[in-house]
Amino acid sequence: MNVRHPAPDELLLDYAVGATGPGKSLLVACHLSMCDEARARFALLEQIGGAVLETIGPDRLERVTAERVLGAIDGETPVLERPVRTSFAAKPVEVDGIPLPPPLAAHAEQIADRRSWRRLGRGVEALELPVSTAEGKTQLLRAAPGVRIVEHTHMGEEAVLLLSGAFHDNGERYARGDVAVNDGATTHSPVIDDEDVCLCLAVTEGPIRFVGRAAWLLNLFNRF
Amino acid sequence: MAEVSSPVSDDLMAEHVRAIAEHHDRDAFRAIFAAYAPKLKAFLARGGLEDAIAEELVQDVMLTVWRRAATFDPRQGTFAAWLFTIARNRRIDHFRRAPRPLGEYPDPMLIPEPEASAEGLVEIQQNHTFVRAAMEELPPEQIEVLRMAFFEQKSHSVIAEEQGLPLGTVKSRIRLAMRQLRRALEPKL
Repeated sequence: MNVRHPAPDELLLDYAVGATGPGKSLLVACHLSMCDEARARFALLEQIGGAVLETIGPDRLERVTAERVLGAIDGETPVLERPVRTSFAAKPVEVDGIPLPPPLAAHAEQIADRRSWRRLGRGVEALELPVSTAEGKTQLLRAAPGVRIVEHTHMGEEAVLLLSGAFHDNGERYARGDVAVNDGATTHSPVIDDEDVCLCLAVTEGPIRFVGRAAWLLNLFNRF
Repeated sequence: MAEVSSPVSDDLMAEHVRAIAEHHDRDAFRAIFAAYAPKLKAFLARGGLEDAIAEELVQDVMLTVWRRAATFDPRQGTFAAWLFTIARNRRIDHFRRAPRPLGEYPDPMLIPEPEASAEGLVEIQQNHTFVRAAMEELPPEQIEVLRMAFFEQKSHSVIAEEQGLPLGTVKSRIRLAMRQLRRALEPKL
């Protein structure tokens, strides 16, 4: 799939080295299943990982030897069959007609259940996924067509993956498969396209702060 | 910092892995172990693991090499990159298990990769052996960020914090490095 906004390199790098928490790992895994460009970059990062591993000087092993490992596998034969790769396209899981990326399939039931969603504001609903940790919240956000999100900024980083629909933000259009990363350096007010419901996976490290008129009142009740 | 050691021949390692997969060749395994187990230990120790635990993980990784030898596909990348992904995943597992249980969720790292498009596959095949050479052309500050990220399993924001660098500086070093590597590899397509 051709995606206009692949995840930024630093996010792919964090994932490639294993430094992302469960929320961001889920987001990047979903994105990789949707974006050829990100997959090519991720493959390059893993090759870089191999090249870096080769440059490291050796450490003396005190206990483990080849013989010890061979002893542990005595009687075992290596897996001779190449495991069949599951094709991502094989079994799409859909919720409300929206195909979910495979890493989200485990949550399909929860997503399909209207009762697990809570209202955030006019035309905006959220569902918190049980992968939130110290790194922040992992939520699905659903916004009705044409909704304008009140102007806000972020107290931490926010990464958003578009699963369906589209929005405009600071002059850019984001659609299915795109990733948008924002932090305290940006103030924005995304506008959902008129045609479709917009479904996003959002990982937020801190709360958002509304800015502009009546912001103090909104911040008082802010539950994002 | 540990001294830099010379790279091992990818083709030779790929042959060893095939020998394990096809006829359980113990000598091939010994050769891989001799070339990579000490590097793996250094890699895992740099990631903040105690000596004894680093060795335990080295054993796990080498066991995986034996057990999953048939899954290594040299067209997809170098042996070192394959080994790196096994070590990384093992290290993720270790940290996930050890300090705090994070609850039940699917491990995205374990989800099988989508089939690469034919075009993408060709790109990967032809590029992977050039990555090492292309990296040598990178400016030292870009290499340093990549090395810290891979060795110490640190996110770019942690690297920025620890090095006292603005986040934007670290991001742009990563992006510039990736751009230069992609550009350097393009003529090989």
